[in-house]
Amino acid sequence: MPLTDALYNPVTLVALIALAGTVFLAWPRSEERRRQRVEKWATTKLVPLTPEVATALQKALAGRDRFGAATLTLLAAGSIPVMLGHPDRSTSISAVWTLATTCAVVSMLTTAWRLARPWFAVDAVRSARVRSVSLHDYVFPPVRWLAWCAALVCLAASVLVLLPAPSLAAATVRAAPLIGVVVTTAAAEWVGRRTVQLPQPAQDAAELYALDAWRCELASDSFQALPLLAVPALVVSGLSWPADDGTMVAFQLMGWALLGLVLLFQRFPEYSMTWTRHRLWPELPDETIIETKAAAL
Amino acid sequence: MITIDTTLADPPYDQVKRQISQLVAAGDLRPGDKMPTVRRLAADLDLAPNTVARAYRELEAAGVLDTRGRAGTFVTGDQRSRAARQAAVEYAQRARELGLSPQEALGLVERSLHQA
Repeated sequence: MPLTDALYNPVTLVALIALAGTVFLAWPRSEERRRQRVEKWATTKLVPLTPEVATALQKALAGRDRFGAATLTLLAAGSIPVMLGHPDRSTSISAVWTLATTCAVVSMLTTAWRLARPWFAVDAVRSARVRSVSLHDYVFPPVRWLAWCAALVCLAASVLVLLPAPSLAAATVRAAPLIGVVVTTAAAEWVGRRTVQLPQPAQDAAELYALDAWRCELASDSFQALPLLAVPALVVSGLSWPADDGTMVAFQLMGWALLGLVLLFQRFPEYSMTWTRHRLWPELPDETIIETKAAAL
Repeated sequence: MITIDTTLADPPYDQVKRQISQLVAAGDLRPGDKMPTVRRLAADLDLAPNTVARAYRELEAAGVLDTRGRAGTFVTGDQRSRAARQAAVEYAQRARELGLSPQEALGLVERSLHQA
């Protein structure tokens, strides 16, 4: 492939973004920056920053960065052979998109695996919630509904693009990005359900609250990202669709509408941690931090 | 939320049982609330599953909790039915200690109900 073709290929852009993300996440941070980051995260989520919570959070954030950087490196590395090996633009975009969704699923599974390890050392004193919890407690319901709506739109669109496909190869190219969104949604649901059932060993309310806040962020982010994945998937699949047929445009408009709704729901006061506080910490008044015996950092 | 201290003289199952009863009495756990599974609560508290299972069993016998097969364990109905179940459990234990047969014990209850 000539250099100019490679430069103007959208896959190059994907590879460059992934590379920039890797550098950003893997860039070493000073002790001061790490501390500031933890404090900012804790302040946003109203997490009481005891020394144990601060240490655990710092480790968790660093671990998330490391795995994020590894996943993005995988995406960037995978994009290069795709870019060089597929001169056809729609084929290469479809291949790199499939790679991106695979990376998203891998990232979710890694997150669930990492959460299985306890954050805090077990002591003679342990605290636990005596109420069964579910994914519903951690993800603001409209965010989850929108993710599933996006998956259903992608599923319907994939059926539409598969039916008139002239060959299996053409069908794969057209449907892979859309099926990828459906698979990612199913993975988010499975990982989310599994994650909330993992034990939460904690000594006190502060530690339990910090674990809740972390789980809430991971689960919410997975679902929130799905309509963001659906729109490009619908656009990519529409590239090989006849221009005079408006069906794919209708699906794309549905995708954009869902994306708009996600942005709208972000403005809701119940969004993210506020929802989890209402569900799991109803006794806590709004904007208050749990009182702890230990002093803050 | 419950807190267990393994250095205390009270056995852990008793601490679990007592604190759940207190939460129910205080209204922090309401009728119909689903309890965590035995395994989950045991893992959270780093206790043996049998310890939590024993606390759940005794709370069931006291009418505080109700296990509905595979659906899970729930906080039982209203305060009145809980108190009645608790009284029935206490009466059954006393009748057993006195050596009454089930028929004799039931007969006494029926007679008392008619007299009341």
